[in-house]
Amino acid sequence: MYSDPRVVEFIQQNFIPVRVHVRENRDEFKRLGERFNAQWTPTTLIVDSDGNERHRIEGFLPADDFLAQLNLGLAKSAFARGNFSDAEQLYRGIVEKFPNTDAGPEALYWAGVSRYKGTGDASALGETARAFSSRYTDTSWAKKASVWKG
Amino acid sequence: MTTAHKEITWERDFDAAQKRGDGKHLLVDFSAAPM
Repeated sequence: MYSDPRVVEFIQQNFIPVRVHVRENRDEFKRLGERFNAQWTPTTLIVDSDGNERHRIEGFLPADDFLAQLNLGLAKSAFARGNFSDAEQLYRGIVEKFPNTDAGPEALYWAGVSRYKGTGDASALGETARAFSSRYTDTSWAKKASVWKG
Repeated sequence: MTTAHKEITWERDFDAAQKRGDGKHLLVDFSAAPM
């Protein structure tokens, strides 16, 4: 996944990449592995500038899925900081650019939540529930959004 | 003519990367990949 030029470019633009190698950096692997409860490789964490883990990817993924997960991490971080407009934009970008990944339905769900949190307009939740009636219908996210159908 | 192969420039020092504090998120890769 790190050989894909799109992945390389996205990481270099959006992150400070830090590698903790199980054999080459044994002490760091142990120290940071305990701090973040990382017990398997590859485990990829998105950590904000305050040191908070915002997203975790365990195992290898194809490039599109990995890119979607990286975007998901940035969206989650924006949401956690209360930047709901930015979060919604990031979530909707995932649905648009990576619709066929596991991150797609999760992003659609949280895009609706972000709009509601940012605007107070509950119709955003109903719109999200209706969107799930035509796509991602067999996912757990569709089940979770179904309560908003009203 | 050859196309340059882009690679990620990984840092090795988590604490130093965090202290730099340029507002970016850290992408921390716990890896067993060949070096």
